[in-house]
Amino acid sequence: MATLTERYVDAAVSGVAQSQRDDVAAELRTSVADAVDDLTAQGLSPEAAEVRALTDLGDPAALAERFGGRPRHLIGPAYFGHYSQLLRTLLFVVLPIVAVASLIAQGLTDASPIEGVLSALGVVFQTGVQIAFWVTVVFAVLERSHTPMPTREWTPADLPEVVHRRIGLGETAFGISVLTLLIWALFWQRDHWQVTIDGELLPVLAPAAWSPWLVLLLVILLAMVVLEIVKYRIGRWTVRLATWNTVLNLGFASIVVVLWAQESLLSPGILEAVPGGLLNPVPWIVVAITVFDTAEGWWSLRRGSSAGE
Amino acid sequence: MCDSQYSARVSTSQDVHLQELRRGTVVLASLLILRTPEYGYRLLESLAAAGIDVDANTLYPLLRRLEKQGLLASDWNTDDTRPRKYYETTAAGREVSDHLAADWARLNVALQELASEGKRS
Repeated sequence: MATLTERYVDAAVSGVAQSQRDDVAAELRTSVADAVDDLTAQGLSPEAAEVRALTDLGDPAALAERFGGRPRHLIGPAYFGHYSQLLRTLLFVVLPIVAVASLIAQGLTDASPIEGVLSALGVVFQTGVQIAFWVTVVFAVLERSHTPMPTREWTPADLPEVVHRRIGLGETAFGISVLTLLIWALFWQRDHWQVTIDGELLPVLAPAAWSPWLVLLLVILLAMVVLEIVKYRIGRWTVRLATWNTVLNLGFASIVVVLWAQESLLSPGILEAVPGGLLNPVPWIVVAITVFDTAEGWWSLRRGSSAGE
Repeated sequence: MCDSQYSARVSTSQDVHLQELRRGTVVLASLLILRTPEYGYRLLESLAAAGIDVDANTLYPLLRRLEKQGLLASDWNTDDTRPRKYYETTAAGREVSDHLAADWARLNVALQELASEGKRS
């Protein structure tokens, strides 16, 4: 077996450039031998002196790094800014899309609501782990291959705007969840919420209403999801966002109310079949939510501009 | 117990500041001592004798860096009991060390003035 010193030197020069390695090793060996000589002259046994000399030199991996070997960190300061920015951007953009898409996909299958949400959460988690893993691997390789990053002289113009964030992640997540559940419910009710009328099994919403009105409702709901994401990115309500919110809300409510008035939203006979007139207030609820949600956008905008700038 | 925790914390932060304060002095001291050629282990002893504390695992890589920068030149001497790598300050190294020494003197004066002002007030 190699001596402790040989093992130490071998570990300390690992990662040192090949052309330098023998030179560094020879010098280190001499330095250790000099230290051992000194320590034995002070009365230590040769073995104890060797252990002591190597202990004084410390972790060979640390020494190897100082000799210009491989870094002992995964991603160093030269890359960390680029790394965390790219990772955050990817996660922020991709995960919401994956979440909504997989929930909708679950709605198209026969999965129960809980199964659907759980499996969508699983997909989101796996996607997040994959993104984080591969981005980290790429940057760890860049770090070790000393690839230069595109750098630009910093100027004060690069300073980001101060975001007076008034829209939290919780609010956005809640909004998107409600919208996604609505989208999912539209699909789900076709096969799973059926009422028997005159011996015939019918879904609550009239199948004829799908072309094109229910499809249009779906598109509006999807647009509302996008609006939630954009709103979160900006961090507060703007005139444009409030306008879009109003347009989408009005579109949704008018489709529901007009279809209801024409008695073509629900399958014929449903209203009477559902006990206690449970479905009767539906248009009123939709109108109330529309008014409230539209007003909330403008109200928040007004409050924000008077309290802020 | 609280007291000992407190003093432990002060002494570790003191250690950190001392390390930072001394970091550049090792370079200057090495460039000054190596105006006459010397090998690593002996330089370590000379530095310790001069009252400049530095760990071997800091000094050896530092010598290589200074050599790479052209401030030190090296030569293997095989006449000794074992082959040794001798380092010597180059002309560029002398220039840098003169510059560093002048700055050190200037800082020394400035800090002493600040310290005496601090005592008076």
